[in-house]
Amino acid sequence: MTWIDQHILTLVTFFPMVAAALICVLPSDKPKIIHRIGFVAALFEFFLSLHLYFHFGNTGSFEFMELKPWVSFWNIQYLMGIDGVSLWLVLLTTLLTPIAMAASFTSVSEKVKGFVVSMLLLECGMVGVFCALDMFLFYVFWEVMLVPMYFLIGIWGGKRRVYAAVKFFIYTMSGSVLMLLAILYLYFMAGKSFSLLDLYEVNLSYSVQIYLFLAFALAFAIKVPLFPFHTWLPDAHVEAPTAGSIILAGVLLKMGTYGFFRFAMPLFPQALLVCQPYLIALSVIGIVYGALVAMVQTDMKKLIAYSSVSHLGVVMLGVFALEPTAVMGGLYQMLNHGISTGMLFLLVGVVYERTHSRDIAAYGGLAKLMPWYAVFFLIATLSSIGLPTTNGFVGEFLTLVGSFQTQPVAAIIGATGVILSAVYMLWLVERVFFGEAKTPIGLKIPDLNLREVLVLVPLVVFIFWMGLKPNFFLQKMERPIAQMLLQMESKNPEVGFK
Amino acid sequence: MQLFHSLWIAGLPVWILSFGALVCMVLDAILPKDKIRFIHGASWASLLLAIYFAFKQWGMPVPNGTDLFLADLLTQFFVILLLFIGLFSLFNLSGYLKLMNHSQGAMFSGSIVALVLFALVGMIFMFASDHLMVNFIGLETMSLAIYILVGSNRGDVRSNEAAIKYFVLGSVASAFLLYGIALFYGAFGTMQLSEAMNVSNPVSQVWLTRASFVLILVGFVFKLGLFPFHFWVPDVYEGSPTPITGFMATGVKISVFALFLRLIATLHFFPTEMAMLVLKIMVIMTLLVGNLVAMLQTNLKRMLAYSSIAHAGYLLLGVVAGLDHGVLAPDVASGLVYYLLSYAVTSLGAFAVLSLMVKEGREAVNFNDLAGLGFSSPVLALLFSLFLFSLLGIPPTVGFFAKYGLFSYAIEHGHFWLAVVGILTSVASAYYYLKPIVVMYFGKTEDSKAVSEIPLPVILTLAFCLVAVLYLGLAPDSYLNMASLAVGFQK
Repeated sequence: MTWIDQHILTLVTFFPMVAAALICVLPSDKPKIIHRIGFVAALFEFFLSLHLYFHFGNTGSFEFMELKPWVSFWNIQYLMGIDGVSLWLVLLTTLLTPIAMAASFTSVSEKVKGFVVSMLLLECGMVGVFCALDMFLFYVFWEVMLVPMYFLIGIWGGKRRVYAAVKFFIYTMSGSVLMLLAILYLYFMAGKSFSLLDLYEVNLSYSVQIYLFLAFALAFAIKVPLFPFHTWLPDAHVEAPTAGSIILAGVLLKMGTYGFFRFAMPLFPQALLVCQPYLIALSVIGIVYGALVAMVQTDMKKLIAYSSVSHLGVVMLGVFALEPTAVMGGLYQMLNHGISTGMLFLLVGVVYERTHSRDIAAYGGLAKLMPWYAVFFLIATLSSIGLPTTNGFVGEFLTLVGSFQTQPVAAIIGATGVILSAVYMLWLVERVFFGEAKTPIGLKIPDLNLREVLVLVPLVVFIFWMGLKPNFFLQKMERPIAQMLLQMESKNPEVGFK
Repeated sequence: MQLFHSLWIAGLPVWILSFGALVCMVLDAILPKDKIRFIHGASWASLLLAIYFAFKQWGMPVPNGTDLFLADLLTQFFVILLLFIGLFSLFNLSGYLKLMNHSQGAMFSGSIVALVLFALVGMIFMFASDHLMVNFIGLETMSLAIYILVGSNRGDVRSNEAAIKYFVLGSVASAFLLYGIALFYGAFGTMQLSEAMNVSNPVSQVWLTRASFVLILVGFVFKLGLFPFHFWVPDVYEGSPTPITGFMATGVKISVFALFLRLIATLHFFPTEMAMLVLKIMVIMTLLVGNLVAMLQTNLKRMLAYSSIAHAGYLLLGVVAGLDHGVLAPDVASGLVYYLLSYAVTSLGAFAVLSLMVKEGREAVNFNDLAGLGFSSPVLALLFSLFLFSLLGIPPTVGFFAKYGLFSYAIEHGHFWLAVVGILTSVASAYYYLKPIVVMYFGKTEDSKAVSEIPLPVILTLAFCLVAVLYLGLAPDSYLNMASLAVGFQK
């Protein structure tokens, strides 16, 4: 273990914060330069995080662990570590952040410094959430992340941004404070320790598990969002600036699924088994409901926002199915959704910047006017609806095949979501890209410029890479998933997970 | 003789303050009106000197003291805290007066600086004794000075109204307290808390004891602004000059709570289930009233007044969590002390920002007056946001750890549902703490004139509070240890 290996997680987590602090002191009258410095910092962060990939041992347990006392009065530790699942989530975060920032070079022209600083602080919080293994530390990152996102929506957002920002903040906070109480309860049960490794060992009575699981599940279900808790999402997505939407869809929603996988499920296995039918029902309702609502939207961003509800339903179906293939498919789909939906939001942002309209009816025949744009949009669409050779196919296929073995009914209903997604996405493409050419600003609409193409290309690469060589990604997730299921099984000896 | 000597030393901060106050009054009489800065300078000097001696004594308690004056660690801790509060309140005040005096409308006398020092002396005497008579005299010294300070903006009708209101209601509360003390003497035959602790009062006097406790409690509930005696708080906080409001929200509240803490730590104040039930109802109602009514406010000072009611509620929540058959658990006491520390630095910062909001000789502290501050004075707006986030309890600010500590003790001592109420009302508080941020950042970005200039003393306050809020939030360990040392809590 070199020094770098021992401290890489701290470096990756706090580098954006240091960069943000430095950008704070720059003069704010050179917005272009600040944009570029912020982008370079985020790009550097991406390369820094690649170190995690290259030195990852794939041992199945947590790697790159760091342990330092933080508040020893309450035995709060600075405990960081990642496994194969969090590795990909960290890399997804560090990939999407520079892309989101580069996508905002021209669309965000006011208060640039605040924007760049918020983005970097947000990145710090997000990476921290995926790396923290001390529950208290996790909670701190979880809350810290709320603040920059609140500002991103509130300052650079659309017309109803204040409403959306406050709703986002209060929804997320009300879920998470109950989780804090549950964390505290666990802390006392574990003999005053917040370390996840200690908490995994705690044996809880059945009724306590139910309460604590519900508190955790509420926090994560709001974040995912599972069906009845999703109402903040369309508001936040529609009002957020493009970069905010990319990060929201690409990373923030994953914190909910990640939370279920890392904390709520292995900590309270018995409670999960009791709640499993309900959670699966909610996931499936989310799949169908999200798809149906997406179909009738007239606003492109809102359509994609509701498609997120549907897609995240698929992810949760896989994770809750408690079958190795399904869990893997669900987690893989989680990464896919980050890439493809992030790309869709980016593409909607591109036309919105040109026309200031996201009204589907106002567009038509864009394929003739913006051929390159049409190509990229089609690729993202195909990935989103899960066409073979794209990443979406692999994720959905694994999820459905896996969950069919334990939850056949849910899998069958969930599969309709795949069909419905083809309906609403292809219909969107048909209305916007084919037929009579029209845009809200007339027929002279510039196609993608070089910067936009460069921003989109990495995402396209990942769509096909993850679609054609899924093993490259899946092999790192196999062991943690097996570990998680084993952990649940050891607490529930009478139930076997295959 | 030895004891007298060491107590004389221990009381040094108080003597210095009293002397400083007298000097300020004399200076006010002999100096011309435009030399008011010398009065401020004298007050700062005496406070700095007092802080220096208070720090020198920290950690060296005078164990037994006398009947009338204590110098234990808890006292020393609060003395230091209050001296800092006094210093930064005076900084705020001098900046505020500078901004107000640009116009002729405001009429302030230079002696209000001396009154702040007198109030501090009263506060220190109030909790630096376990003799109820001294406590009461200290409380009255403080209160009288505060009554005048509240009404010190003679040109402003609301300031006058607030002063009268506070004076009348406050006197009634003092009367309750005094009557309670009288009954206390009747029941125990002494006013010394440490002696009363050892008196086993006969059964026939149980009702006398309880009546005295209830009356004393009424006095405290009023001064702390807890439900159901909280009605004066918003009016008085709104009418007082802003730095004085900040001084009341921090200094008065903390010193009265320190005395309350001493009272319940020495005597079994709430021995019965019934008393605990009353306390629990008070906690829940205070939290609800404070946090829900704060949402409806359009004036920042009124909002912070309701927020201070809510914070008093969180403190009482900690008290309820820590009481077991009338005995206060020391770990909870340390949590309460830490909460007070956190509330002090955060509120001082918030009120420092509000002190700057003066337009043409009038306070302009409505939400609308903040519009666009986020872009006209970015640093100030950022600081204000930070203080609001700390009041709300978002990490990594000190407010988060303070609230967290109280909730964790509540759970540890089996008051799970109380913690749930506390945490849910604190989510509700997000609504009104976010409002000023919305106005500062999310509104129109035309040139804002909320703040024209920031005088140097206020910058010092802001810098201190910024460092304290972040440092105590990121590395709370040493101050948690300090708090538990002060209440004699060994881990």
